[in-house]
Amino acid sequence: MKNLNIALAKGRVASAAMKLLIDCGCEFPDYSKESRKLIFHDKNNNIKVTLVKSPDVPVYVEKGAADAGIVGKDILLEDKADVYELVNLNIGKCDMCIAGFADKKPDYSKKITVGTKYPHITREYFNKLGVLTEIIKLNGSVELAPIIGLSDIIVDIVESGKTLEENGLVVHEKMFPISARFIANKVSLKTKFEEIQWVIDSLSSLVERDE
Amino acid sequence: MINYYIDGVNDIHFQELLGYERINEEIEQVMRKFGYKPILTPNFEYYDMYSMDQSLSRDKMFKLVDRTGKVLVLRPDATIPICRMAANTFKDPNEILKFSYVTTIFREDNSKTNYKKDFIQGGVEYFGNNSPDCDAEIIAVAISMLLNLGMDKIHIDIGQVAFLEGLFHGLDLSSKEKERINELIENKNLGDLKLYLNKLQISSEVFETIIKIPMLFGSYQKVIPQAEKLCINDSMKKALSNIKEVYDILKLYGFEKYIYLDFGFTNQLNYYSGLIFKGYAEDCGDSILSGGRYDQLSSTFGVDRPAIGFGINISLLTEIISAEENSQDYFDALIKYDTSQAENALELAALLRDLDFSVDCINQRYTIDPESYRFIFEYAASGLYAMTKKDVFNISTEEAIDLLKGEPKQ
Repeated sequence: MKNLNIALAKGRVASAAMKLLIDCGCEFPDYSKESRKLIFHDKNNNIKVTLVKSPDVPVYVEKGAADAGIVGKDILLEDKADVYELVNLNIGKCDMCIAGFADKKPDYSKKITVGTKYPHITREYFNKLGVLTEIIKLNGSVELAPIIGLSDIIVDIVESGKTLEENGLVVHEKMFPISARFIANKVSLKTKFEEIQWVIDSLSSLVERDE
Repeated sequence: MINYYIDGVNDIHFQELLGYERINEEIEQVMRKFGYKPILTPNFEYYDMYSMDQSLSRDKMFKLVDRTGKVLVLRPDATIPICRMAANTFKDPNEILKFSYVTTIFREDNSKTNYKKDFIQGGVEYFGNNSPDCDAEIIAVAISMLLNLGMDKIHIDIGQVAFLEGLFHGLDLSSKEKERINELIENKNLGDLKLYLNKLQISSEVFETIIKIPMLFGSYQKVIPQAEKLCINDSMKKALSNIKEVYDILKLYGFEKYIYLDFGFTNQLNYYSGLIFKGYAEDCGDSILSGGRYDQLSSTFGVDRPAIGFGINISLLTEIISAEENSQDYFDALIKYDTSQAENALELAALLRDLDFSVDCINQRYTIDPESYRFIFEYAASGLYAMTKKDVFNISTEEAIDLLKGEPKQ
């Protein structure tokens, strides 16, 4: 059996994804949530899991450095990759939202300033609505942007809404739901089909069981 | 200092270019063996010709404006211009035309791992024949090229655009809806495909058929029985029997072991109308070649003739088969001369060149990398010397010529 390389998005998705793989029958003796290791070998099925920063997962997979990957839909939408998007894993669920101050709904008839980690998604969404925007690309703590007057609103993923609440912001609009996806390199799916197939099947049956 | 390096383009150095040349030779040899005539279309085409067809994204093309204000593009694809050329020159739609090319394709490749503005592509186009024999020949040419290049782990995926279009036929779907379904099938995005189909007014039979298509790939023996069960009308059956016929002919070539099927291939270039295929090899994470049948394209140029062809990405090939050729012994001789012997040295060089040897002749006060020469001579004031790694010995011009003749180039 050939070796199967799976890239996982570090952080939000990783622990849930590892749990899914373990439920599929993989065993990672070295793995624990606290571990700083980035590569884990499964002793049953010849699977190698690599933890990488989430925007890098589609890059690894598209280039074939990893045969498959698990990453949030937000990343796939923001930076389109030429990969197969095989299974919606229904983990790491959240919503892509427009948020801002409760008492200051933005006036869409005028140009608005948006702070976000997702400039591409934001531009596409507001273009469709015909709203003029100035997009400020931020790399973290997006909630700060309206507070310090950097932007009128923000576009970000919202899981529980707690971070927003603690910073005095509310969700204006839910744009669309986000969840983690199992993706595969277009060639690996063909050339390592047997190796990937059981992962797809096991993951799909787990997802269906939970539905 | 200003850096004039443009993102997405490459300088090709000597050794790398030798690699390109070797690959080109292998590929051109196969084209010729199968009876394809080499041709070349201009670097420029009308932008309108491409925008009419809508098969290529407009943002990916390089546009220029000529003196009269017409918008031109640098050749973003090879098939459409060859189809135009065939229609301009050969009016009889039944005439068999077999063309081959190796050319630069100018197209912005936005994929993040492989950003490029141009690449070199080889390919063949076969006009005037819509039989499965012709489909099989094209695939056989593709496989022969990969074999000729000494590649292994060859994997050809065959699909049929008409299978899915046959399924759409008779369904009340807008072109936008079809496009979205195609996109989801192409990405094998089963989760979102189910969600999207649930919103549409389609029967459960159609629903069940569509969601099976993305995973309808693999070996011929496995996929064909599954595909047979999915046929709900004649056009689907016809598309399927085309694949079977092509497979049977490929058996005659002895190539069936490289053939796999994928019914999840959709019509990404709008002009494809039937069989389409992609080729992979050597664990490369990208397809090396792709092609398909485009029976309707030619009618837009006024001659209604069937056609099929494919292109192979030579730039990608050179990356896969680390194509840096050994450049040692590329030239036959280097003659370094003392100023007093310039006349004799140039005379010897001319003599050797007349005998078809490649000779570099240079005053010895310059330094030159001796790497690429088979023999090095030195015309010193005291006479002609041959220099080997171990030895320096005095020789006559006749002996020098014999030395070059004696060891033919490998």
